[in-house]
Amino acid sequence: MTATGTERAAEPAAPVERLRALHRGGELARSFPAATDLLRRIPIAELDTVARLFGGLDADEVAEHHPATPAVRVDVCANGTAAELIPLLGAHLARSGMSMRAHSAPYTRDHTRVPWSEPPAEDEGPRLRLLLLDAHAVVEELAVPWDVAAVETALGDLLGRIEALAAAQRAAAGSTLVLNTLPLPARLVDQLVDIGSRTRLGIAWREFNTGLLRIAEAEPGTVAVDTAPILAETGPLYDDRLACYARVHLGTEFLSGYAREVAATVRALSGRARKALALDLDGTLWGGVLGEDGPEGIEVAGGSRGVAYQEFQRVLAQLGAQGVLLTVCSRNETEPVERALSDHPEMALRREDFVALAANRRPKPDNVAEIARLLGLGRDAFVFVDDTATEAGAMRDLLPEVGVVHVAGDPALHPRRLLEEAWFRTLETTEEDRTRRERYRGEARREELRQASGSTVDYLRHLGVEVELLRPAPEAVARLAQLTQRTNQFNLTTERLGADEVRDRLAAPDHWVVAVRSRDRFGEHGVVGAVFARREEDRLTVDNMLLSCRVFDRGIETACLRALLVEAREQGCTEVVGRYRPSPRNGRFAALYTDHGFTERNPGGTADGGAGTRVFAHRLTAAQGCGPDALPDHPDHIRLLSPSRG
Amino acid sequence: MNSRNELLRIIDTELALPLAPEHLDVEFDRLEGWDSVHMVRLISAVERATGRQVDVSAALESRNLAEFLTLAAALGETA
Repeated sequence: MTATGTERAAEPAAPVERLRALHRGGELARSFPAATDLLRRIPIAELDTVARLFGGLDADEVAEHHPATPAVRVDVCANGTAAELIPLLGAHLARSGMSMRAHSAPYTRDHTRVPWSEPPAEDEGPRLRLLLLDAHAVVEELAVPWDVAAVETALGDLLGRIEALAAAQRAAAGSTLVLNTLPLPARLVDQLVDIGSRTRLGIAWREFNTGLLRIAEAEPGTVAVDTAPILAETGPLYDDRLACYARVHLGTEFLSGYAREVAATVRALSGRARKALALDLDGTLWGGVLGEDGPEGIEVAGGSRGVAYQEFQRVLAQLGAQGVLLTVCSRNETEPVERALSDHPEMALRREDFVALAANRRPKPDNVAEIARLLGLGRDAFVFVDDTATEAGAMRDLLPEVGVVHVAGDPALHPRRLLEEAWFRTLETTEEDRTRRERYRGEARREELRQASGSTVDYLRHLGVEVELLRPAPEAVARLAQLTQRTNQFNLTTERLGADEVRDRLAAPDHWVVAVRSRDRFGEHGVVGAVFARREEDRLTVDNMLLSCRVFDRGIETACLRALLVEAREQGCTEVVGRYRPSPRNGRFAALYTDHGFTERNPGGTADGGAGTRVFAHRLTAAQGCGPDALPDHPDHIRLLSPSRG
Repeated sequence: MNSRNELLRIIDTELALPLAPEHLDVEFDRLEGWDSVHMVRLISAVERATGRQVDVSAALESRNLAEFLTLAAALGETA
């Protein structure tokens, strides 16, 4: 079989390109919700690539088109050149669904005299005053030659001025002062040659930063951004040349990390923190596929990557202990999931850590919406974590208010992907947060979630599933053999084949070997299934049919069976026979053939293919006064390529 | 980095500033939408694109984009 039509749905342009197009067309303000959505599809660490687009975005124009959009007023007072900060803040806030009114206040040495803006009284949105300081606030006070005592004096003086500003902030109700700990540049410390002085400078610097953090702890209208974690994640603090010639003492990467912290602070201040996690299981909480590999086969702590999943579970447990509600959103079946969570010896997370468990065949957006309803939370309180591009993409498209973390690739990166967004940042956690989990738990809620099953038409249409049936090229032999060996659920006879056996069948004229490829709008899935059949005179016997669990619940099996029946009829067959041999894992598909217009032969009896094998037949032509059996309908949402045998 | 079009493309994508070829010869203080921060960004962007270092102090002193382009083009010649 060869593809007759290979044209594909046009790939949607990358989010960066679409944002640039919106900006070029002057549409950013009018399309602000779309811009927010596009920004969320760009990894947060790469936001600086589009930040410029948000530098000149007019909050009034956003309000004109989208009056419900919260506008944040941000005053920036920096001792160095921090012009890059404003567009970065604009982008980070827009990613959180907020517009920005920014104002640059000139730096004065006496911080109580900084000319902060005076917003109109009716302006009730969050207001931030950023005093962004770099080490030059100290360096400028030093005369060459300087010693550690001079630095201590300058630091003490600076802390005093900051303290005065924080005290004055008490009178500025409605706004929040944002301080930052001072990064210690290598340039400064490396000018000291003796180890004793270097040590004392380190102590003085840390004492200053500790003092600054204590001010933020004590003053209700003041918060501090601790720059140490930002510095641990970003490159050099500045470029020597730009620092020297243009006074850019804080580089873009650092400023983007700082802007991310400020945006998280705004979300905390305005009660926009997320409250719950909806977690995929296979590939997210553990390695492998529970339905395929069984509880003993999944990687939780053992295996090459188990340690990474274990670590991720611990991070989730830590979030859960602080009041973030953990829920499961998985395509596994409920019972094995319950068992794995309860009994698996290596799980860091246990069944009781989860307040709701949706393990069923429904589309995940439906499950998240249902969990939100049951818990009495808004959908915008949820963050969904999944390792599959299709699940992450469908959630973004269909429930854009849900935060999405796509944890692709190495599980050692899962914690970073989840934590870097600061989804759950709040001003403080209360005892109520910590006990929230108890209040939400309940068997009844779980029961309610179990009932639903099946994919909705809207969801399937959105996926844009394409299925291609093809005669496998020689290169595909290994993949087909692997499918027979690794697939357990949709493996109708669990007949395992080696590469040579696959090759023999491919070469035999009476055997039909069909590879099933699939893709959707979120990506290419490759060869996800296979049909092994053989023709004996007028009968086509399907020896086995396989489908990867990655593409379950999309109607792909129906499209394949129908195409096979049509093809068999066109090739002059009068009957197609299917076989099903029960295994511990394939019970979910016991009714596949009867669901597709086949009739069981000798129900309860034995048949060819060995003990326990059940045989089903589909009549393609009229016989003995009966018409042919009805063909299953082709699922409308699937585009079938190359439906004919070539 | 030696063509005017390439520079305009970088300015458009990295600075979000859609300029026309004739703007390259306009002095910065008469170039609408331009401020000194743009030059800092442009230097970083050109360095990223070429993998080479621009003479920053000279770049900051250039009077228009054509002058900057001359500096940036010199990078290519030493390749």
